[in-house]
Amino acid sequence: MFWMKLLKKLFKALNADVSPSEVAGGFVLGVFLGLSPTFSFHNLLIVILIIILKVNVSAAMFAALLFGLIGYAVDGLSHQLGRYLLMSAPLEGVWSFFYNTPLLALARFHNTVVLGSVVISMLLTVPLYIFGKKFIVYYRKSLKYKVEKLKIYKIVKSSRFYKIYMKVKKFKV
Amino acid sequence: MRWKGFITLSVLLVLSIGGTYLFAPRIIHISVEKTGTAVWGAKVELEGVEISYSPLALRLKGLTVASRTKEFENMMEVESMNFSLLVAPLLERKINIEEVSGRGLAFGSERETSGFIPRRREEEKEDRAQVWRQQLSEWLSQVKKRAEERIDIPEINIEQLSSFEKVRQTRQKLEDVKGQADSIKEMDAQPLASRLENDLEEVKKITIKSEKDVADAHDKINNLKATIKDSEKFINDLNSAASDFQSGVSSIVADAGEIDEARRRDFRRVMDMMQLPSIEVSDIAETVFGPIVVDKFMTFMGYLETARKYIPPRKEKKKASKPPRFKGEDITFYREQMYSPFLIELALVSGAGGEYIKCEDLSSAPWIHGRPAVGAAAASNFEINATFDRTQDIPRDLVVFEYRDFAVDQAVGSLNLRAEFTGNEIDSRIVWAGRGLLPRDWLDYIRLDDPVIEIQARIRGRKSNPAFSISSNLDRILSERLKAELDRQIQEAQRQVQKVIDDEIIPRRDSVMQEAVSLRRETEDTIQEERHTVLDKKREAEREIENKRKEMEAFLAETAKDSEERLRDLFRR
Repeated sequence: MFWMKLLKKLFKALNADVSPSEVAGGFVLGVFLGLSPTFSFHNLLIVILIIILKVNVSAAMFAALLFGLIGYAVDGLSHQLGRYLLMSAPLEGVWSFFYNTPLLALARFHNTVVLGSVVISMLLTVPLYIFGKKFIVYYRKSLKYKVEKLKIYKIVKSSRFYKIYMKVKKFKV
Repeated sequence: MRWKGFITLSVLLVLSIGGTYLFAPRIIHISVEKTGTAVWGAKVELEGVEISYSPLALRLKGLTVASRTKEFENMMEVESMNFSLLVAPLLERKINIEEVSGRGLAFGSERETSGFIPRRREEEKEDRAQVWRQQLSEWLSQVKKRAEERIDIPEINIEQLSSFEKVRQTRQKLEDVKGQADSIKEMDAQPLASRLENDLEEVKKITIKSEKDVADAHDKINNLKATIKDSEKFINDLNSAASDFQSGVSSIVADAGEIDEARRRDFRRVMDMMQLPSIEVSDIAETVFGPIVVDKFMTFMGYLETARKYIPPRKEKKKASKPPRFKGEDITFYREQMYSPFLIELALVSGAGGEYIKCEDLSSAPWIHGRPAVGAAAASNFEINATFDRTQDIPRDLVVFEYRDFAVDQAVGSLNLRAEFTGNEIDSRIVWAGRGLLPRDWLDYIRLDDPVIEIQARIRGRKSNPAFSISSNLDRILSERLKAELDRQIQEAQRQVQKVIDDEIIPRRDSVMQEAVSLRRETEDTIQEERHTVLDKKREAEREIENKRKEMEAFLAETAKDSEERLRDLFRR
């Protein structure tokens, strides 16, 4: 049911209710959540950002789940990258500062996977944001009607939750 | 900015801060009571908890820890305790307590409500104590029964005794000596004495009046000399036979000592064959005190092990391996300040009566802290000092504990414990000394009025397979009592066995000895008589020969003088 809800909200966001920037922004923040280990201090900050910034939560959650799965494949790369950065002499001062500063130490940037995944996420931020915005515009122009004919869209739309949602939406309006 | 989200977060933040402020003392209060009660096994109660946020500190008020053995008594009571916490380690999710100070410490204070909690284990312990007392009485009745058993004297076959064989051999020797005595008796001196007398008479009859008489006398004297020679030979033979006889008799007399020695051997052998009651007193302490001491000792060791468990040894470095998902590898950098996950730098709680509990450098990661944990506590009736050194690769711990009114079952005494742990090796000794441990039936039996019983238990070796030993002065006390009881029985048995052997052997021995002595006396008389018979005659004959020799010399001298005068007259003419 959670997936249904998430897909409905995502379709809704894609179908012009929400601005492309919000959806792309939510998606980018979700990438951070998905790629890095779940219990990290910086993830808490990302969640706060998702709550207080005007970004699409469904897109963030979708991205978190999607990149959570991709993360398994990227894990080795994150470890290698994190290890390379942590071991590089010019950056030692930076990491030592993070390691010795009480609150920053909670971010656990001295862990190879944490650092590697954060860096990969940061590298992906701008390209994903730009690509996301363009994709949503393109979707609304060209793909929307094709998607509405898909079987999965019909299933989602005809579900009980969707109907309740529409009623509530009408009532709110 | 999404204002709804911002406001929701802010409300949540305010609620969590407010909730912490309002409910944290209550949560800590309940946690301390629940955890303390569960760990200690009797009620742990608090009157109140206060939290100060600047500086960060925690105050526990009215802490009482109930006694586990006395229902309406507190094991320990503290009026108030202040915990000063360091903030920086908290940011790393580590609890470092800079100082714990307390006042109003008291041990053994009274309490109005029961401090017990329903526990199955306590009931089991009570049952165990009852079973132990029952076993103690049963064991004593067995000991008494064994000690009072009559000793059966085995049937003694006299012919199998070595002393009997020795008497038989001596009797055989006596028969041989009797033969020698008969031989001596057969050496009749009378014919020789008659010969000497006859020859002597012949010599005495000689009167030297002419040269012819001299020649006759010479023959007769020669005959007498030959007879004297025969008598000398007879005396030599007699002496030789007498010597053999004497040595035979001496050998028989000497056998008396050997017979007695064989008799003693026979006695020991027969005693060995008998099933004499004996109780290995060295096992008494282990048998009697084993269950209860092991129980107490293990309880102590359990406490120590619990204490040691929370101060773990330095962990071995993990080998590098491929990191699993979401784990990665932690790269460490130089740190000016490293914090143990849990640390109490100094704790001192004191009471008005000189009681105190002190603890320094108690850390869950001593290798980070760099100093061994030291603990001490004292009150009017106990003192404990402990060092838990985990700063090196091999952990070394030492606990010394003295308790002056320590209860073992229903008895009270002083307890001294010294426990040393080096790596996986353990060497611990516990000594309890006190009165009132032995039940009435035991005291009646050992005939002592509640003596001080000292029990020593030692556990040493590898922790996985330690050797356990128990000793006690009860061994000595009981062994003396048992010895007195058993000695009476054993002495009676010894007396009976001795009588059986003596009745058979001593008359036989005495008979042989008497016969030997009597034979010696008789034979010696015979020897003396025969010797004298011959010797007297021999001496007389020798004297007579001497006389005749002188007589003949005088005659020859007279004859020579006459001849000389005749020759002189002849020349004169």
